[in-house]
Amino acid sequence: MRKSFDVVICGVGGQGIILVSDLLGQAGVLAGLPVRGTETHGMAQRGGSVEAHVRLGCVFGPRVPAAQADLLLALEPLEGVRYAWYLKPGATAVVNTAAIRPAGLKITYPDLKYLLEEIRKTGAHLLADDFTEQAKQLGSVKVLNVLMAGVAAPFLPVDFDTIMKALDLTVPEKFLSLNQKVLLWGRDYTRARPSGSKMAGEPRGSHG
Amino acid sequence: MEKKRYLLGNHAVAFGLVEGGLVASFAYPGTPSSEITEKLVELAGEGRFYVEWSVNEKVAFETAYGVALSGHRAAAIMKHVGLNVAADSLMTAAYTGVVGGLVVVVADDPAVHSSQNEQDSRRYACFAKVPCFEPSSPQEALEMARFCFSFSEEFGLPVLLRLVTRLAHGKSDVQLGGQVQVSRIKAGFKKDPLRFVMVPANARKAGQGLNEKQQLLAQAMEKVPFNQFQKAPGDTLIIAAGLGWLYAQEVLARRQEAWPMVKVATYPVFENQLKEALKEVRRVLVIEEGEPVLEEMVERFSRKVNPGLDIHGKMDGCLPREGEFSVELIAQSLDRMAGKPPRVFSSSPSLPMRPPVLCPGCPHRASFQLLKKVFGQSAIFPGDIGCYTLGINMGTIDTCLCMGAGISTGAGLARMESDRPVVAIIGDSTFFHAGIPALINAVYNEANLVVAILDNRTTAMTGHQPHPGTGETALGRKSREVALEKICQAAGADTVVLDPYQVKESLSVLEEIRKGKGVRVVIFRRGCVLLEKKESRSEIVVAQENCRGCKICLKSGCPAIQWLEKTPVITQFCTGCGLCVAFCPHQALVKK
Ligand SMILES: Cc1ncc(C[n+]2csc(CCOP(=O)(O)OP(=O)(O)O)c2C)c(N)n1
Ligand code: SF4
Repeated sequence: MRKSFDVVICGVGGQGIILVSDLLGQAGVLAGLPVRGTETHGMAQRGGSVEAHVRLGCVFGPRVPAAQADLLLALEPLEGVRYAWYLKPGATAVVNTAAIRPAGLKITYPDLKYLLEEIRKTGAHLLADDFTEQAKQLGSVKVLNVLMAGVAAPFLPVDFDTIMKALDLTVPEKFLSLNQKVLLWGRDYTRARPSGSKMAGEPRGSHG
Repeated sequence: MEKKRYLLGNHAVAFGLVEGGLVASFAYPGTPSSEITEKLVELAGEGRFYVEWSVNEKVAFETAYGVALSGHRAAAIMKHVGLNVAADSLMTAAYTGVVGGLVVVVADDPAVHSSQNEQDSRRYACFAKVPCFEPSSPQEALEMARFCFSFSEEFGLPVLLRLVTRLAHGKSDVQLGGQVQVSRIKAGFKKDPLRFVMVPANARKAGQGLNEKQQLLAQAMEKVPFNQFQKAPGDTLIIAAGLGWLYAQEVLARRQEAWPMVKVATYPVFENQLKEALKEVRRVLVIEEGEPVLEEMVERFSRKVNPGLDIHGKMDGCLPREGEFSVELIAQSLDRMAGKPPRVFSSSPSLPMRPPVLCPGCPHRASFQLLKKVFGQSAIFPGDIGCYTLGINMGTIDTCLCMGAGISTGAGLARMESDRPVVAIIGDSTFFHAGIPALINAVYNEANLVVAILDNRTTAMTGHQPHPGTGETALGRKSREVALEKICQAAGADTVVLDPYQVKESLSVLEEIRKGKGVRVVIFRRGCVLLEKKESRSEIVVAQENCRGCKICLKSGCPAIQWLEKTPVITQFCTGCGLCVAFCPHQALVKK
């Protein structure tokens, strides 16, 4: 059995996780792969913890099994740790370091260093940066999701042009050009890293 | 042939209903079922078929039933607890039967992602004695939805299509069929009082007829395309339903093993073939999400055909009784059966939780702040279901049972707790759904309570569907808007309408209401912030010099306010609603 390429996307309700999951899944289907996935709709979308799974080349169920994810795309660092148990050793974790603190009087938010270390402990290669800031600079925090999909793109078993094509199907026309711009930016960010898309060593820009 | 699409399970169901020749669809929103109707609205285009958001599930089902009695194909779509509301109608609709195909799509929520319980709709199918189909993938969901109409017409019975959250909100590449089926039933309602008027004499006969159909149904299920046998050597048979089938397939593929397997996708089950399969093995593992429906049947069948059969599943703890399944759980159950210690998977370290919260700028937060301030610590807030249930974090939701229960629970509490204020909380959509009879009852029977209707002009929790108070229909047509205040006044309740963001005015009106007696309705009217126009937002700034560090601003739980060392910080999520400005006692938060 050829193993599927399993992606877990996570973050906070409202960050646009579903759109990324749709983008990657559409790209897989355009590339002719069987794709399975699952999304969080409903209550958790109101600022709760959300996850989505995309399984490229999969003919089984929608959920990524424990310790089987090849890629974790965390739009928020605390959520990255919450779902890090999906990562298999040697996988890639693309993590946004910009924290969103859960609301509440008594909550203490863990130290970023600790959070990134927890993700590293899974044996995954960590690619962490403040992508929220990048998205802001490029136009809007709203496109953080697609920007990070761009960062993840070189790791996927689907070529970039196909992901670009899938973007046409997932994003409203009005916002397409900004989304194309940040998707490209994300890809180039990863490509410009010393080791290219093959991950090794300390990721540039890591705060940990 | 059309290219494959990447579809949500619910969207696949919508396509399936359309390919099955849907003429009219009726639904009340509810996670995880809402996207079916949303997709149907999109597909309806220029009147290809009719789509409706009905006021509740009972009304949705009965309206669909009416369409089916006139010989057309109809769907009623709801979440699992919606079927409780429609159950009265379903039970007897099974007696009268239908003429045109009637499909009831019910989405169950194992693991309770977005619900108040975990009930299994297959029990309703058995209870009502109607056929039930359960898909294991979006592709199969499409094919079943299409198939259900003709099956319903063949047996003259409503048919249940049971989904679960991971199917409804699961995704897959799906091949559309492309062609739309046409019903062979002659359209037009034909009077047949013996069949359609359930007076006792007719009901007795109809009940007998329904029982007689059961045998035919079970026989028909031996031939429907969805059940599946997978032959392999081995003395242990896996019987799986729904997603359990795929999880089991994945576990075995990874272990490079093949076991005999049966997929059960239809109820009543294909008894003969199943019994044959049970004869040939020593052991079975039954994999099904929800109640041990199949497991109980297997136990019953095995008594006749294989009394020594070793049965594993939910009842012996091989698989968990509650929640949803995963590849890991199925792998563990196989280990347990083999007497091996199940492999444990690491989970995340202990981390701060991130429960859902009211959005920044949510008008409900303002209403709750006002109610808390005026009615005080001793007040009881019987609640209801909607975004506003998240008021649990503010201490302003004390109960949540089912839709519409807040007002009636409040009336009961108020009767006993005469020295405490009772303020029932209910949303606008929920009020239309099941709140109106409760309000009438409370007024008529002289209850002493305040009813706060949080009118955010939408059904927010489930994705902002319209309702009669919005004056818009599912298909986007303008309709007659039903005014909440007129309904309340007609019921005989004293009624006021407030804007929760007019804090001063609201406080003084509420103060008067607090002193009153009888049923007093307060309608807090302010649109859900996610639907408001974004241009006119003001900016909130912190006047550091005024802040005394009292943290009162944090008490509302607004996610846009964070505390950094000694003062609050307003983050990018702020919508400028100004609630914190109104409640800060030291003018440390200022609207710019
Ligand atoms: C019988 C039943 N049907 C549907 C639901 C799903 N559901 C939960 S809350 C809700 C609507 C809430 O709308 P509203 O009362 O206007 O409150 P809002 O979310 O807008 O604050 C629905 C449809 C349910 N829980 N029970
Ligand atoms: S969706 Fe609307 S009603 Fe629901 S929490 Fe957000 S602002 Fe409030």
